[in-house]
Amino acid sequence: MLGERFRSLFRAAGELPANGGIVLAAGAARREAAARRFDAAEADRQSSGLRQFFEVLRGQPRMRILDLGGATQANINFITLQGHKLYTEDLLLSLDRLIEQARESRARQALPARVLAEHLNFPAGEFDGILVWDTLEFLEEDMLGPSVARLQAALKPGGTLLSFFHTHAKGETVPVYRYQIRDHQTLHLQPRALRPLPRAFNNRNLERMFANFRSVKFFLARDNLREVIVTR
Amino acid sequence: MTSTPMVKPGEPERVRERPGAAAIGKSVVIKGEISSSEDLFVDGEIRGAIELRDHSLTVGPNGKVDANVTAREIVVQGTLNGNVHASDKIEIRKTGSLLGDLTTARIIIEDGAYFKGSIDILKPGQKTEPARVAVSGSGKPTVQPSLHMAAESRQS
Repeated sequence: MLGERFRSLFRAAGELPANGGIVLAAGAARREAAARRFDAAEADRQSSGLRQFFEVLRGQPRMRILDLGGATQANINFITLQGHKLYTEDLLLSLDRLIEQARESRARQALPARVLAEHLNFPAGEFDGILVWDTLEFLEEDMLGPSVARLQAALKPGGTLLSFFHTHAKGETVPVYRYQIRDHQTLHLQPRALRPLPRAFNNRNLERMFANFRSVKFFLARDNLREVIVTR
Repeated sequence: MTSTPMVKPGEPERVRERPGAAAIGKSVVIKGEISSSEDLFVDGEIRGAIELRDHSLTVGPNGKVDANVTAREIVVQGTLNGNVHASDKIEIRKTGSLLGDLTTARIIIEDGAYFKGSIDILKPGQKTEPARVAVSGSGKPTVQPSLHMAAESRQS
């Protein structure tokens, strides 16, 4: 019942399939658990990763920042008010649209190449900082490595990338948020949908994923979210 | 094109064009450059370039604009693909979609709106180049978000 209440909420937001497919597949117990997590994550949360991200940029005007979580008023205001230039791309939304098109045209194999060509085709060394949020953990295996490589190339040497990863098991349904920046270390989490995790990440996986970066730093928060700051 | 406001009684406020604005209706398709010294409401289709300088452009819910735009204020309820320079404000409503590089003093994005591109905020007194207007023979704008242009040239 509680799960249904939250499915209705997401449907109202227009971002969950009407049949609630991914939620139903996860099972009732998991659904209830996801709903509880959704409830708990509604409030603002402190982010050590975000603080670190902006510490690197502090005092440097006209930095170029890429936000892969889509355009939000809060992030635009916060970043541009500091004199930085913002580039936004809603990677998950774009990916969902491509998957939908690929399903119709049965061109699933071409998907990774299309993601890179159409949504991660940034010039080398373009950005001082990239806010990835939690988008990487929802990418399929064949897209993940090339996407990380493309983001690394898009960063300037010394540039910083912030990414979030849930600590839950593979297949568990987790809430997807829109991350809105309140201040240098506070995020407001606005729910968008529920999604199953295609895989689980531990510190070792993450170190391997970001092996080509100069440094990798982890922050494990109390809300089962691992924040990762990497520097090119 | 007409200068008569086409406001229907009972129509939601946000769908209406500005009173006195020139209006391009749903069934109208224009290819080429539009230059105007009055406000413009577009609910049809435009491919090319739009130059309004001190006036406003509203892309209505049915509007589809493939053009680089220079205006004082731009409101997007439909679709706008192109680089945009607004000396005052850009507003993307929840039904709106904007793909391009923006230069403006202020920006308002409603929840649910889609935007992809870069945002450069003008400081008071700061002047920049307006959106470059380059129209190909087909009437389609040749300017795309700068990052993607650069990426394409890198790949070729």
